[in-house]
Amino acid sequence: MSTAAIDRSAAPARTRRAADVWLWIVLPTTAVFCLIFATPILDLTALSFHAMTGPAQVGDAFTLANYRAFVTDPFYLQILLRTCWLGALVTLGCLVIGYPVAYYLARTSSRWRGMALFLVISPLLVSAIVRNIGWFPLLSESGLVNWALLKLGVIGAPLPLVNNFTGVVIGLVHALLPFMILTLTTVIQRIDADLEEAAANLGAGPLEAFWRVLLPLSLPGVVSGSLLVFTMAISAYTTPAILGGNRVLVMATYIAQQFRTVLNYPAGGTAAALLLVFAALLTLLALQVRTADGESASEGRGA
Amino acid sequence: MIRWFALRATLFLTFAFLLAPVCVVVIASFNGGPVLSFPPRSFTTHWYALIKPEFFAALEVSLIVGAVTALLSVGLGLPAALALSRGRFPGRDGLNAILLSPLIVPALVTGVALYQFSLTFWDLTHVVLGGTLIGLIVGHLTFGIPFSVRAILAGHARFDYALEEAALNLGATPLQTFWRVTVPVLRPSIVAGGIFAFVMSLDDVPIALFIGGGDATTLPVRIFTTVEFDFGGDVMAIAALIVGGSIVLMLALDRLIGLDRLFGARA
Amino acid sequence: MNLRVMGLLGGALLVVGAAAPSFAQSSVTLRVGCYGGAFTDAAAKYAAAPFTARTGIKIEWVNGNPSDHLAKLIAARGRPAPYDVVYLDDDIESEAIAAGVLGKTGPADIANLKHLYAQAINKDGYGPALNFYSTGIAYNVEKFKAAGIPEPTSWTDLWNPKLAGHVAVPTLDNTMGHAFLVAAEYLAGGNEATPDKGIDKIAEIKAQSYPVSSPVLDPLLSSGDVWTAPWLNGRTWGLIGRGVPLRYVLPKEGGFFGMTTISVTATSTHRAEALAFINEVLGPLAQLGMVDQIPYGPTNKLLGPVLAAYPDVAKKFPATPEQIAKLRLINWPVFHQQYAHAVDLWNRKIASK
Repeated sequence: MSTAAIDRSAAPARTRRAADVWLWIVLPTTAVFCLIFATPILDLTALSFHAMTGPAQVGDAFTLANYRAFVTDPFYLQILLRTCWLGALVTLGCLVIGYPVAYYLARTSSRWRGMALFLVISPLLVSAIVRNIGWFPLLSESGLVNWALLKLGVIGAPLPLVNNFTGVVIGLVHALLPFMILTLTTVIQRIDADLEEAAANLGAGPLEAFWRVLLPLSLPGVVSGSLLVFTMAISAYTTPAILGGNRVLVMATYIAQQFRTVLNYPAGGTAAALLLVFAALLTLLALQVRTADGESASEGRGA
Repeated sequence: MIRWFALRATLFLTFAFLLAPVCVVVIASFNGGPVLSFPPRSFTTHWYALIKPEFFAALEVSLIVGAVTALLSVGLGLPAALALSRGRFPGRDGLNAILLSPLIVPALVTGVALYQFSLTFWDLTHVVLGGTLIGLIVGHLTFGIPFSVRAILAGHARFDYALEEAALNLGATPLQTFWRVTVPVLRPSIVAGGIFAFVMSLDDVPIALFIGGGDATTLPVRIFTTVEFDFGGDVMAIAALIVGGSIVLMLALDRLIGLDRLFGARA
Repeated sequence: MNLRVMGLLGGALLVVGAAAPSFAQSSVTLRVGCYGGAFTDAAAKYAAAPFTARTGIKIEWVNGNPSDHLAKLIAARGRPAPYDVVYLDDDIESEAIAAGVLGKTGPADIANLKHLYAQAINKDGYGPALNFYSTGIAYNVEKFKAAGIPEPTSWTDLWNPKLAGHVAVPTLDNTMGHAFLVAAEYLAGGNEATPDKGIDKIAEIKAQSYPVSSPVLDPLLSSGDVWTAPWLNGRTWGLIGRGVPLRYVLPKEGGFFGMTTISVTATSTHRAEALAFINEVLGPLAQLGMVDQIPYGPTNKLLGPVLAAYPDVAKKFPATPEQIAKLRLINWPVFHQQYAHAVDLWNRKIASK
């Protein structure tokens, strides 16, 4: 095919622009963003360098005590670890479940494709609290899932599916699946279906075609979607609070607790800042992932 | 044969999983007994009659804020995404990470930060942001922009520059090329980004709770404050109505412009 | 609630009409921080609507949790406050007083103060209370009978090992959680200043869940996954009214008693109008309307005879002077000094297990 011969590793001269033109183009968004987000957040996390003197009040002196307390206490590090584990599991779940659906939506010519896409995002239309509460009749010990499994004889006693870590994973995978599916769909759509057919013609089985053709080509999308889902999973607190029965202490629920009820802004700010730094590092790492032909998730084209 | 069956089964199970809580909510809205008692004790539609007018006012606020947020997010997100994917300037990767950061910060923290910011803003300009629609939109842009940037970046993968090159060769100006080649090619991801921003705006509670209030109360906040105090079937009813209304809207859009085309051609 | 109520309402209107300060039809809008849901609806119907009709002062409701209101008030110190009037639980009110965001009032400012029970009036002149509620034990009668467990009469019954996995313990985010911690502290031989003992005691319960709020607990109680929990009288009676086989009991050690207070903010720009509204809320008409909607005990003594005539309603909350005198008050200032520490202990010993 002729397209394979084109060197995709660099944009043609006329569509490439000088670096500073791009700086101008990105300026309005960056400026707005700094004003409405970066400044307020920096302002608030700056409170982490002060001591708490009362609910929602801080002293004037600069101190690193909050950070020291957090980093040296294994209890807090455990919270961070648990948060990462949760994020990883949820991301994996979304990938495994979401990829086939995204593939189908990208390749199908059924007239119901539009409605199917809509159904994918429909869980998000229900308010988060109502959606989470809607899981209880399904997952609780006397709920539908346990009732069905007991009736079928698959289990002997009800499984604890809610008010624990499992419930949180289920709830988060459910809530974040639409994001993964939509991201992957738009990426897979752009991959030429003929490539898979060519692989099949050359003797590759479906699994091999997936592993050696489809997955590498869709890797930037996989990384993008995973990054999105992971960051949202580690900052979610409504779902862990409700479906975890408040027994699953992750960074976000800890931060929410400090900001909302204890009104300890320094402690909350410290945890939020650390979470942000951690996730930002992870993001920078992920952006370095490159595909076989030099494409990365940080750019739409080759190096 | 097995592969076909496996794919169909996976799809069915996945959609069942996605729709399960939604179905529970819809069923609960018709439940005459205690809310969420399963199986439902009796059938009734009286919850729908009990929905108070404030819910509809809040729905209106939510829709307006959501739509404006989505439009602005895409408008601001597109140039940034293009710059991040095509440009080569110092700090590009850093900017990429920064633009993703609002999604890492729990929305509650953003809400508190924005509230404090609105007070400082008042100090400097004597313009009130709290309790206004503009304040809500500003607050929702904090996650709307990252969503659209991410969506468009993902969709920009493997962008075929030959199309733009061809347009320029045929005499189009860069601006014409942008509007008539670049944007249409990126349309699925632009739409996806807009949808993300809209849906998350419709879903947000913490930011709207701190910035909004009074007339600027969004539907999820209204649901949240109602549910905290008194959990009745009318909350389920309004949630079910939203889902139902969206389905109707989607069917209409499908008939008019074909949802398919909105999401772009398949490969 | 019918003829007698109408008669009383009519009388109340006369009293209120005579006592209220007069405002020529005003164009002021008061911003009132409130809870939302049925509470705001009742307040809007029985306090705000007659008030606006009579004085022209409009009420704009800003709904949320009391701690959110507190956070906003503290953040806005030194600037015009985001509210003129704010409803707060009494424990949050003690934090607000400490933070200096509430304004003082006296009998000269609010005429209805003289009709309130002594417990409802704040000694330092801050916001008075408009209702009393209690934290006791809610339990599912059918589940207890099926399991052969005697019905609870004491806080200690919640630690019964046969209940393992079927108890819900409210977190420290809400009033019930605070009250239960104090109960546990006393059971362990301590008091409001010793959260360590209380938390250790609570950690002994094998709870099904630690709900933050009623929308999370209601489904669990309705479905029978949770058989018992320390809970508010009002929420429990709400569920009973919807057909869940619950019963609410005050333990023999004494239920804990809380109040919803209403205060004017320190930097409100409409102080006179705010005080007039507070007066309205404390008046017999508004109080009676609230009782009709939400089963919390009114603080206005004038309603005593009405409640005596409706024992079915009065049994749901502290209604008579004797019952009110018997309820245990919590030393909130001491409790709050230990609060951050208590939450930390909770996180370490309970939340992550």
